[in-house]
Amino acid sequence: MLDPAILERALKREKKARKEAEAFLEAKSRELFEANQDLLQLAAKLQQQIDQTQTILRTAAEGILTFSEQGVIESFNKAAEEIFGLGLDEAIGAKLTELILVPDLFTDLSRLTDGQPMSFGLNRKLNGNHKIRGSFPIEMSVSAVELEGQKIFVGIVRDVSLRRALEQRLALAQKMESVGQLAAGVAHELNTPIQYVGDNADFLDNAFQQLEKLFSFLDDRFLSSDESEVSGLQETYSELSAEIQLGYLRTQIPEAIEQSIVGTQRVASIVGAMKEFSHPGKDQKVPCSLNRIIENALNISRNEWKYSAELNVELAGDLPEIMCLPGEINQVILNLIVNAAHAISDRGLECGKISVSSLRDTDHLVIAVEDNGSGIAESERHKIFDPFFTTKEVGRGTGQGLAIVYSIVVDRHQGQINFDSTLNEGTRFEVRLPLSPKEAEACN
Amino acid sequence: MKGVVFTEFLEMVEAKFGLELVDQLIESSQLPSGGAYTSVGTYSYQELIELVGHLSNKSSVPVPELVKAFGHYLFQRFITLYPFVLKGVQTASQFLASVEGLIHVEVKKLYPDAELPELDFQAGEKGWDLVYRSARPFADLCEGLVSECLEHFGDRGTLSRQDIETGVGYSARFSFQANSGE
Repeated sequence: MLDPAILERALKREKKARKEAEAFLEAKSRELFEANQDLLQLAAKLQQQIDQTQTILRTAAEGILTFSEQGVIESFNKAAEEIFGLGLDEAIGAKLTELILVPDLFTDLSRLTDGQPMSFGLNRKLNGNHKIRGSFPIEMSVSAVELEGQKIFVGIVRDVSLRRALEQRLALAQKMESVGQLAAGVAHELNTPIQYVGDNADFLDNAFQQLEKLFSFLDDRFLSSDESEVSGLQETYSELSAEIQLGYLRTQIPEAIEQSIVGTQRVASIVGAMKEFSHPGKDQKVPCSLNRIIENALNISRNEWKYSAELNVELAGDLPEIMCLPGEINQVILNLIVNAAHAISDRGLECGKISVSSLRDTDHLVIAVEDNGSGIAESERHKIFDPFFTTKEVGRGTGQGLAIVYSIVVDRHQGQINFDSTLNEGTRFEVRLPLSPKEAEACN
Repeated sequence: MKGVVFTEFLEMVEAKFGLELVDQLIESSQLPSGGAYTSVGTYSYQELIELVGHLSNKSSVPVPELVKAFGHYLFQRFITLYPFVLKGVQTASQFLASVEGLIHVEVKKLYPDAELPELDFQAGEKGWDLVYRSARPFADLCEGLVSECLEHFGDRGTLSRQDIETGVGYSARFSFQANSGE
C-alpha cells in the first residue's frame, strides 16, 4: 500500500506542474495573439505596399509589361495601353510579337535565361505596332525574373516617336548648316564651269556671226547666181574664209562645244550631289552604293579641300550594295572630309594629304578618311564624339559634326567608328558599316 | 533542457520502479523546480544529472548505463509522441541524417530558446559517422537514442563510440559499420 504522503506530494507536484503549464499556455497564447496582431499589421502594410507598387507600375510614365517564355503578355500598365492603343483586356493574353516587332524574340529570351540579362539590350531600338497608327519607333529593355518557379520577362517600353522626329529635325538642321557652310565653296565650284560655258557661248555667238558671212555668200552665189559667175567663186570663197578665219573656227568650235558639255555635266553633277545631300531622306534604309555616296560627298566638299590638300581616293570596285540611309552616310563622309581639311589648315600645311578609301572586310563595309593634319590631343580624344564639343573657333564648327557622325553610324546603322590620331601627324577615322547576312551572302 | 526529457525520465522510473522511488529521487534532490515538471517547460540539465545520480545510488546501476537505457526509452517515446518524424524515413541513417535539418528545426519553431546539441551526420559506403557536440554531458543519452534508432529500423552492424576532447563542451563520434550483405 502506497504511503498517502507520497501520493499527496505527487499530487502537489502535479498541481504545481499544471499551474506552470497553464501559465506557459497563457504566455504562449498571449505571444500568439501578439504575433497574430503583428502579422495582421504586417499583412496590412504589405497590402499597402502592394497597392502602392501596383499604383506606381500602373501609372508609371514608361510602358511596363510582363510576358511568359512563350511571349504571351501577362500584365500591361496604363502607359503601355496608351503607347500601343490597346485596352488591358485586349493586351492580356496577346502575343508580344503582335505588339512589338522583335526579330529574334525567342533567341533573345533564351539568352536571358542563360544568365546574360544584358543580351536583350538596354533601350533596344525596335518598332512597336499601334492599334490605329501602326508602326512606330520604341526603345525597350527586358529583364528576366523567376517568381514561384516561373520565368517572367519584364519589358520597359518607351515611345520614341517624338524624340526620333526631333533627332531627324536636328540631323536635317545640321545638314542644312553644312549646306550653308559649303554654299560659298559650291558656288565657286559652279562658277568655274559656268564661266567657261559662258565664254564658250560668247565665242560661239561671235563665230556664228562670222560664219554667217560665209553662209550668206554661199547662198547668194549658189542659189541665185548664173553659171558664168561660178568660175570666180573659188577665189572669193578663199578670201572670205581667210577673212573669217574659217580654219581657226573649225578647230575651236568643236572644242568650245566639248568644253561646254563637260562644264554643264560638272554643274549637273554638283547640283545633283547637292540635291541628293540636302534631300531630307527617308527613314527607311535602302540599298545604296557606298562608293557613289563617297563621290557625292567629295563633289560637294571639293572647295573645302582643293586649296589645302591633295586628295587620294581608293574605292574598292567590288563592293556590294548596302542597306543604309544614304543622306545620313553622305553626311558622315562629308563631316569627316571637312574635318580633315580643317585639320590640315590648322597644322598650317600648304598642301596636305587626304586619303579616302572604301573596302570590304568580311561582313562589314569600311570607309576610311585619313589626313596629315594637326591630329587630336590626347586630352580631347575621349570627348570628340560628345555633342557640342569643338576645338574650332566660333562660326567654323558647332561641335555637332562628330556627335552626329557617331549617332548615325552607331545608333542608326549599328556600325562602329574608330579613330587613330597622332598630334601634328594626322588622324585616321574608320567607319565600319555591317552588311546584313543577306548582303554578305549575296556578295560571296 | 526541455521538460519533456524530465517528464519522460520520471515516467520511465515510475514504470520500472514505482511512484515511491520517483518520490524518493525528488525528495532527496535539491531541485529548483521542486520536481514539478511539464513537458513544455525548460529546466536546468543539472536537475536531470542529480536525479540520475540518486537513481544510480538507489539501483546500483552506473549512471552511464542508466542514461543509455533512458536514451532507448526516450527514442520510442519520441516516435510515439511525434510520429511525423518518421514520415518517409526507411532507415536509421535516413532518420539520423534528418535530425539536424528537420527535427531540430521543428523543435526550434516551438521553442526558439531551446539549446539543442549539434549533430553532424556523414554517410559512408558501408556505414556512417555521427559527431555529437553539446555544452552538456549527455553523449550517453545520445548513444542510447542512436542504438534504439538502429534497433527500431533493424539496421545490423557495429556501433562504436569515441569520445572527443575539445576543451569546450562535450563531443563524441559515433561510427556505424553495417554487417556485410546488409
